[in-house]
Amino acid sequence: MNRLSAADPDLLLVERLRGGDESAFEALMGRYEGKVYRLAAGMMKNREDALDAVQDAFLSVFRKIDSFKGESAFSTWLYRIALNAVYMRLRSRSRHDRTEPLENHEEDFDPITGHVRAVIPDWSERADDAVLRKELGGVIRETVASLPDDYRAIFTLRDVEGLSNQQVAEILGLSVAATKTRLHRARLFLRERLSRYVQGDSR
Amino acid sequence: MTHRHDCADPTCKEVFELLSDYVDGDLSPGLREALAQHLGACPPCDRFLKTFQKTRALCRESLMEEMPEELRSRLRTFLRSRIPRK
Repeated sequence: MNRLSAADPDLLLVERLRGGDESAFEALMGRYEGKVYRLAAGMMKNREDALDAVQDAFLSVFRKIDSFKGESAFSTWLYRIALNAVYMRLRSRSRHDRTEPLENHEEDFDPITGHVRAVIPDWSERADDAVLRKELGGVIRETVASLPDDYRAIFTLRDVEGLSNQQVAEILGLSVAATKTRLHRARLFLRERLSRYVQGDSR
Repeated sequence: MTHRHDCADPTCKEVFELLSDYVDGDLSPGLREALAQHLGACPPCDRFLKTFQKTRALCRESLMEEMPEELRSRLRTFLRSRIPRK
């Protein structure tokens, strides 16, 4: 790992941690605790539950650091551990895979031509209204929370943290194609819910 | 009330299905160009794209929460208590 660590600050810190330098662990935390917290908070809604998952995750990282082989990026390995910690906590609260079916919008299209027949208003500028925008924060959190767990994780890692489809697929142990399909469905679902809310129809 | 326009290929339905690939830059140049042409000629699809992109921006803004300092401090206290100092 020596040659790689010269270019990768994470690997350098991992090597120092393995050598018994605990300040390297603090440095790794400094680099990732905010990101891991955002993932946990996005997945769990409740701050205290999120903190519990983040604590579990970093404790696992410390204990399992010798099992990190460097086959994937350190961040991928860390996110995988964090996501497992989140899933364990969700299961313990019987919330695992609490899902709401994602709608199918077949009726929006003409079955013969495939042309859109639903009315599609452009509400993008209206959503900039300050009062509405504040309300939308709550709508977004509720809607994300109603996504199936994998969809929520994929959406958070991809669209909030900005990871690549490839890295998200590795973290979740899915194919890139399956990851992209779920991401797209999650985005469509969120757009639909925000669309209804902004247009004053929050059914 | 089916929307009508001159752009036959790809269909609106196909455009909706490919929007993530389009905004993520995952389409081949040919398909990307075909979608861009469709979006330029089809107001409903263009409005759908705008609100699709707006949704992503709003979500990112709402969910891009910094970890509160109090929780950072509790995380570190917890880990110090669980990790033996050498």
